Amino acid sequence: MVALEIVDVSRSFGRGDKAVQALKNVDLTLEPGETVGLLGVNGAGKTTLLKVISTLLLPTSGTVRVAGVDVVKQTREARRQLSVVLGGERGFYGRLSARDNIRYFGILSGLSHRAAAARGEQVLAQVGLTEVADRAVETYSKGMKQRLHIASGLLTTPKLLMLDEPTVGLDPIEAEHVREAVAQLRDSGVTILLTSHYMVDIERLARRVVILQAGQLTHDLPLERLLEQATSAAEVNVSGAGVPPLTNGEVMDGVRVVRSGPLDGGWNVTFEVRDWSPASLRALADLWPQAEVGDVRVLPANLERVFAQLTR
Amino acid sequence: MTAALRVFFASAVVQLRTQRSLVLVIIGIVQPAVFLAVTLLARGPASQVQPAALALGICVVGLWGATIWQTGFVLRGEQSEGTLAPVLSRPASLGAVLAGKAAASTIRSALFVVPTIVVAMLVSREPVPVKDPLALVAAALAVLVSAAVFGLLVSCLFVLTRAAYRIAEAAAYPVFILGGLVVPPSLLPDWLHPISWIVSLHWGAELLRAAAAGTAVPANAWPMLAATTAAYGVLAAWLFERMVNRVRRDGTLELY
Ligand SMILES: Nc1ncnc2c1ncn2[C@@H]1O[C@H](COP(=O)(O)OP(=O)(O)O)[C@@H](O)[C@H]1O
Ligand SMILES: [Mg+2]
Repeated sequence: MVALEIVDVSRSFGRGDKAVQALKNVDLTLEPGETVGLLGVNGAGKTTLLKVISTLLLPTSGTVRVAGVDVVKQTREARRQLSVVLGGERGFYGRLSARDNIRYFGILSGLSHRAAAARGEQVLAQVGLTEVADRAVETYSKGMKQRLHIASGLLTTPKLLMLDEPTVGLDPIEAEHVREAVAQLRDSGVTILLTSHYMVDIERLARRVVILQAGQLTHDLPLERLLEQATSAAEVNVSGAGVPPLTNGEVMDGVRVVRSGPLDGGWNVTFEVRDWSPASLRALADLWPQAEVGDVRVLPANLERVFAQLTR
Repeated sequence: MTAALRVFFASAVVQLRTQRSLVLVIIGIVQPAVFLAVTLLARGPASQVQPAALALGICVVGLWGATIWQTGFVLRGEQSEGTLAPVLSRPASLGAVLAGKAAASTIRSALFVVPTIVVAMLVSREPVPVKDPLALVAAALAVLVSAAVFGLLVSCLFVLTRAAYRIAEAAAYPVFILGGLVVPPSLLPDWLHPISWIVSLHWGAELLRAAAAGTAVPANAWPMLAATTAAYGVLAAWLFERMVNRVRRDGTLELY
């Protein structure tokens, strides 16, 4: 049985002129054990899709089944099959400690008191909150609340786990804790659908990537295909005397001006080179024999850039 | 323990530990104490006011106010914490969650109101004879259940409207009088009586008075208390269902 089956799902908000179509005829199937990254720019409809799957929003049309259970017709049963982490600064009882919040949500997820307490300790440890678990959640930082959200999503082992931008607002160490916890679940066979803006999350956690653009699923590709697009971009800082070569746009294929300005009576330009290799350095030197190449910084894979290429 | 009971009790505990107390200090302690003191002091030498009946009346009035202002805002509280979405996405029965919270909130209100009245009566050295303690306890329990169910109904109403505070005010004071909680209904004009019949706590108050005075229980009091409470419950369930469907359809859960 497939873990998630979305057939021709549309969802709009508002009526008449002000109507927004957040999802348009989305079809998507996840096999058990798959980890899928859902990508899209802000407003593409990612959160809306997760909410429709997790019974928080009704689809305007179409059907969604989680482990074979229809989320509209068998809502309660569907909630047993899934777990969703929407994150954010709200969603906990601020006066209660993190531990008490987690235990309560464990019970709401169907665990016994004992199981909720035991599992609660495990998930708090997984996201690195054990030390501060007795503090009231209202005293927590944004990052700590985000980790607590993740912990509450890991309380049960659902058929489908959905995470909406799980590492947003976290520092690198916190983010790594979270990726670690999600990776463990993935390795234990849980089907995961996650959205993120960060390449490192997708690269580390997803095996397959789907892209949502203005409410429509436009791409569905294995991670490797996405990574091919993502390799070896670099930012190169070049300065020279006289007049700058070009001030914006593509200088040559795959070389683009990012910033330019005067420097010590000459010029200084930062280029972005899409496919960086030692040959690129020679090509640049040939292009401007008088210029001096300053720093070369190979960029971390950037989702926006890859994305721009894929959807061009 | 069954899952629903577990959810009920866990929700009750969360409610007890998260609810703020300031409003309750006013409604549950200051207001009833002042009410009682004023009435006792203003009483003439030939007064017909029975201190026991008065104390019970004020208990019920205090409970009524506390129910509206405390239990009535249970759902609003979830809304302001943003916990409705995380609760809604889980398989637990929402009915059990809300029932637990309403029960806790109501019991908590009673724990403020009842001792206040008892202390006030002791301080003023008024005798409060209780002729039939067993019947009094039974009536008190029934009153608590009914208040909790009424609180749920109000709670569902309050999340559906922006005018919650105004409704709360409107529901609190006139009903004290209309419901026959302060003045015996026999003193009210006839056309107002049917209004007191649909106030469940009016029937509860009658049961309490009869138990304290050891007089015969009016024949319709128990059935009417049960019927009005059941009607509140059905209405609350219906409103709640509507609310949940509306937020899922309109995408306004963030506002809840
Ligand atoms: N509750 C809502 N009411 C009205 N419009 C909404 C609501 N939720 C989302 N939208 C609109 O739907 C579109 C998709 O939003 P969203 O799913 O949040 O995108 P993403 O998560 O990809 O950034 C946006 O145009 C957004 O304004
Ligand atoms: Mg979003």
